[in-house]
Amino acid sequence: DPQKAASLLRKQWSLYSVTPLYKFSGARLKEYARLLGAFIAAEKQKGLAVEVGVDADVKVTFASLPELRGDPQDQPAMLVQLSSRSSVSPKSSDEKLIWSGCFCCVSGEDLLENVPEDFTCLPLFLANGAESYTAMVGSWFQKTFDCHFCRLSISPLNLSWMAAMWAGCSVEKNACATELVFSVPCLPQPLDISYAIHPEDAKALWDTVQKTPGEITQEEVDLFMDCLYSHFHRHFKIHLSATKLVKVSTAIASAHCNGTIKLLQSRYLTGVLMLLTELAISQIQ
Amino acid sequence: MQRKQSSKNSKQPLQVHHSNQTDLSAWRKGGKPDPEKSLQNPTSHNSQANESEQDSFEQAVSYFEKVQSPVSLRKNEVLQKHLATVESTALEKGLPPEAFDVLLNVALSGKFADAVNTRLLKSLIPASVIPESSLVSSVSWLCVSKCSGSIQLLFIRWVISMFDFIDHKDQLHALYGFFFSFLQDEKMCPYVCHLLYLLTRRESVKPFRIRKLLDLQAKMGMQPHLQALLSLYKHFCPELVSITLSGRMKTYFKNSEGPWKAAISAIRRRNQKKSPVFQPLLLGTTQHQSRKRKWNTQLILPASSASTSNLADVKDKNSDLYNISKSFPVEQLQTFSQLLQNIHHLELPSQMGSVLTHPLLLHYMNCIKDESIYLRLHYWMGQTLQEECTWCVVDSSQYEEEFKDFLEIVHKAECFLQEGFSSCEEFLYRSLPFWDGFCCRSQVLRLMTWIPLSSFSEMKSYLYGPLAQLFFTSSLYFKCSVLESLKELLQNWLNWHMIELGSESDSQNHSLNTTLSGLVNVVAELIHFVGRISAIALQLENNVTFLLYFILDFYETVCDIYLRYNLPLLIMPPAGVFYPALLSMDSVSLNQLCYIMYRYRTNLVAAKENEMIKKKVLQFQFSSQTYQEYNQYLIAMVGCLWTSNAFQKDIHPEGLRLDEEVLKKTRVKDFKNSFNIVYHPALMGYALLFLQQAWPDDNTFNFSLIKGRKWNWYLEYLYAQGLKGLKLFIESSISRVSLVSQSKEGNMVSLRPERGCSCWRCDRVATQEEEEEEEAAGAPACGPGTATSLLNHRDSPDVARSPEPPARRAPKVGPAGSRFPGIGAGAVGRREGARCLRPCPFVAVYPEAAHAPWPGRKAFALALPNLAAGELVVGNHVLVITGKTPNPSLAAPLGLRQVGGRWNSSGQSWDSAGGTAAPLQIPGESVQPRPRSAPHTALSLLPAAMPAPAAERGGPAARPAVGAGRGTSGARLGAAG
Repeated sequence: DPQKAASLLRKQWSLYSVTPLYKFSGARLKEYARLLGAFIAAEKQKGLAVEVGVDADVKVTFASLPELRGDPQDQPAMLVQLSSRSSVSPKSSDEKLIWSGCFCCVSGEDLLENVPEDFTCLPLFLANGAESYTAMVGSWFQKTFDCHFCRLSISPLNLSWMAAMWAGCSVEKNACATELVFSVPCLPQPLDISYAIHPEDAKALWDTVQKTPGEITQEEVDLFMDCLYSHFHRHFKIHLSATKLVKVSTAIASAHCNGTIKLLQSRYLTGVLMLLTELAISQIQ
Repeated sequence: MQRKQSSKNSKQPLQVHHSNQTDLSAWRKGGKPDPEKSLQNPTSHNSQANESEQDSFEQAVSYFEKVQSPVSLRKNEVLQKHLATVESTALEKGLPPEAFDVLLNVALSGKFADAVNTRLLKSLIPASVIPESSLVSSVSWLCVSKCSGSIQLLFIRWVISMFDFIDHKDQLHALYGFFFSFLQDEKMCPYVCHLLYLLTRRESVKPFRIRKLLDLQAKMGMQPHLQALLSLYKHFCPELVSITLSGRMKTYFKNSEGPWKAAISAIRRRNQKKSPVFQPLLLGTTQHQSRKRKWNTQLILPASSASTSNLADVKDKNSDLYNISKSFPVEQLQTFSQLLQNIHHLELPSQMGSVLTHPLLLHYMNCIKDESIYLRLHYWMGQTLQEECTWCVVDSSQYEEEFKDFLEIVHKAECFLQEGFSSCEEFLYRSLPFWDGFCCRSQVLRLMTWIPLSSFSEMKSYLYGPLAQLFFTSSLYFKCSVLESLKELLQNWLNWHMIELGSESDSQNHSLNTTLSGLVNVVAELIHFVGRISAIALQLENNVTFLLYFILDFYETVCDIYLRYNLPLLIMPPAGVFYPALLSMDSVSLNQLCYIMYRYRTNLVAAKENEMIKKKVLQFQFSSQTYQEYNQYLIAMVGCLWTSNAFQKDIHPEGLRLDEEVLKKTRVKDFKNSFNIVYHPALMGYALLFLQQAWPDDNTFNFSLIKGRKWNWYLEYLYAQGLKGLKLFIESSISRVSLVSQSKEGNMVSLRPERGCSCWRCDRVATQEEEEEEEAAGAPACGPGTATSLLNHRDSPDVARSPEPPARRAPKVGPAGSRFPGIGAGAVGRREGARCLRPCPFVAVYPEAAHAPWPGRKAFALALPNLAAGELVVGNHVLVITGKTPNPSLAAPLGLRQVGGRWNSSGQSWDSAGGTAAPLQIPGESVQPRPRSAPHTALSLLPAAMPAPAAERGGPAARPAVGAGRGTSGARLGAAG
């Protein structure tokens, strides 16, 4: 269902890493939905028991997104959605989506290699919606599949990789500017510096830096950033290398160091998720 | 809230049951000899009275058994009497199992008024157990509802209170549905919930029961007793019902023990030995959530709970039932015997982290080889440690206590399993570089002791690097605790190796896949690491005894590796550890060192023997260097302690050796004695006490009196003072001439006798050659010739060489001699001689760029009392001058004393006080220091303050037993003669 995958776009996602799920089965998603629904209902009305399978005001759906993977060994991604039913007319179809979360693994074969078959590797988890729901869903998964959720923040180094990689992606002409936000450390008041570049300029710069297409090295990324820094220094006499890169936003996606990301281009969806999967795997290993 | 379950469950052997089902007379016999009760009850001293008591109780029971029609209590004196008998017996010693059937029948049949029934029920206190059958029959009375509601209620409360004393519960479980139907009664509902809570097993949880409870919940609202029962249902069957209890702990059930509380505690006290283990069943509400923290940032050890992993079977009821009968849920696992019975179909908790606090599951983990268990735990623990690490994660320092507790739990589990978790190892490697050495110190160090044995490259960069940095920059106590932890780490590794050796046959491919050589290398690296940091730490901390104790403690394990752990590895301590211990001010350290040297010897002898017995090329042999090092140390030790050859016999390159001419210039008489067992600073106190005891009238403290037979007495005295290590060392390593013929070791071919001490040769072939050559040349290996040649130094060519060093010896000792000048070889002064106001100090000469600690530092630091700290460069040697003021007490045995009452006397005070002082005079061509720093201050080297032991009054030569005639006091181990 390409629409389901498209629902990932243009939303602010919080990133989590998840250790492998124990005894998870993709064939039992409906059952999981019922159990999670009852769990959420019980959580919301603390102290009252809820029978599993009875309709509650929050409806839970689990959906598999097989197209969201890098190679065939990857587990199909799983979308969890919570929608509220209006209590006035339970039959009506106007369900409002209140929370969604997505477990995925794009080219995570590094992790797959050593994991026995009882475990399912979906190391990257994206959540959009109230954190209280994230907490409920997360704790249910932790209890049910003996896994562990952990916030995934993005280091400045990885952000600069994203800036370089995404600068090289070709986008349509009237795309929004590439923006890098830097935070100046050790100040009493927070001071952020925003550095916006025309995406075509960024691409032109990256093309001069990159030696072999399809391959990126740390040196190239450093060089790319150094070029941007020296340009900035020429004009403003500020050494950006002494600051901390906190946010990268391009036409492809925008990422913040606190572990949130917004995906904008469906064409580069798997590419971005692949990078994030790698980060998640490195955090859980 | 506790879920109490008797250990006497249905699966216990039948004989227990029988032993409880005794008849009245048996109970009576059993009751009599109990001394405790007879003490409590003075009347029972009279066995007659006791007998009559039993009779009256039997009469009472038979009365209640036979009574037919309802009787009024007030009018019937017989009833009153019997009732009182039952009550008093119950309170005094409890009722026998057989009485319950009768009394419960009476109480619940409604024959008497409620007042009588109440009194009967309240006095139903068991002496040992309550037979299950009596309960079943009384439940049948409830069904016909002959008794009033209040009696029914009291009965239910009684069952709850006495639940642990019911001998079996199988039939009671079969009545689950019956009890469940009592939920309808509003008054009884709370107590019935409690009883059901005690009775519920997984198979009791049924969808229709859940629906019934949910109806009750809808009708009565949020009732704590319903919540508790429902949460237990959820615990067993999360796939059927869900409930979240609020975080606050509260009482879920009304207290039903009321009337029996005192009696129950009395029984418990009585049966203390066989009381069941009460283990709380976690409802998932015991986690304290006192603080608001973001989701999942709170450290929670998961409670063990049923897993939903077998959800697939839920659809098919039959398979579900089948499954239940097969698997044993972890919630019911409360005793070790249960574990044993169900070990093959134990269902593990849904969250593996809960095993950490569950000792039975840890047992299970220990014996099962299921990778997924460890993997689940590994993932969870790795992430938790990473997230909670208080010094790695910002803003988490306030949760240090919590993290500490967690680390404690992890460490306890590791100790239990006798195995380290790989996630802990990773955590240490990740977080140690950022550790301040303070936060959770003891916990982190304890975790360190369980680092699994792995390839060394990782250890070096991840553990040793950061640890060494912290070690050098932290306090003495930190240093000691690190050494202690590393000792435990070493012991754990060695134990692991022993276990592996034992189980080698049955486990062919171990995950670690360590070969013996790999293992030896890793262990050796650890020992070398500890050696390095210990030597440096001793310098940093001024050879403090406390530190030395921990270092020597480590080497007590090291010296015994070959014999105790069967690992072919022996590593001698570095000179930076050995010499500070040898010259220590404390007898404890010296004694410890002696013990260690004795163990080294034992191990080396054993290794040598094994080599000879097997007559084949072993894969691992101790290198010749090990033997050499041992010999060098032994020579130094015996030279110092026994033969009074300090400063002469030491052939260790970093050893304690001084040019005789230099020593002469110190004007210390009998410097050779300075470190023998009488004058050694660690033992001088003993010598003093010995003198006081031996010559009570003599106040001159003439130490030289200790010689000859007194020397032996003194030795015995030292042994009696608890210096066992010294005893073992002297008895093993020094065979005295008079004892040579009896010495067992004298027969040992491999042992090579030396003058003054027994030494080792490693290479047998070479040893034999040497032997022959020596015999031909008549020069012992460490005889005077050799010693002289050692003193030779290429930078001071004019220092007299040994007149005729044996030519073939020269290459052997030459390199060492030329590399290191020996301590004190550069002892220098000013050429101007006697009139010099600022004589050059007696200085320590370090080989250039040698950062190895100078072993004799403590002793020789004395010679530089008033110099500013700094360095001088002389030739290719660095002269290190410390600014420490030495301990005057140390000066005495060296023959040094203060000038003008102060150590830092100026040149003037030198002059004024120096009537007796003669500045050092330099032999014509000695090395001249070229001071780069401040001008030198004066230094005095004066004759000893103590009465200097004159040569004619004592010394080794005068000791009869010590072979003075041969110029040596040591005896030979081998071919002595």
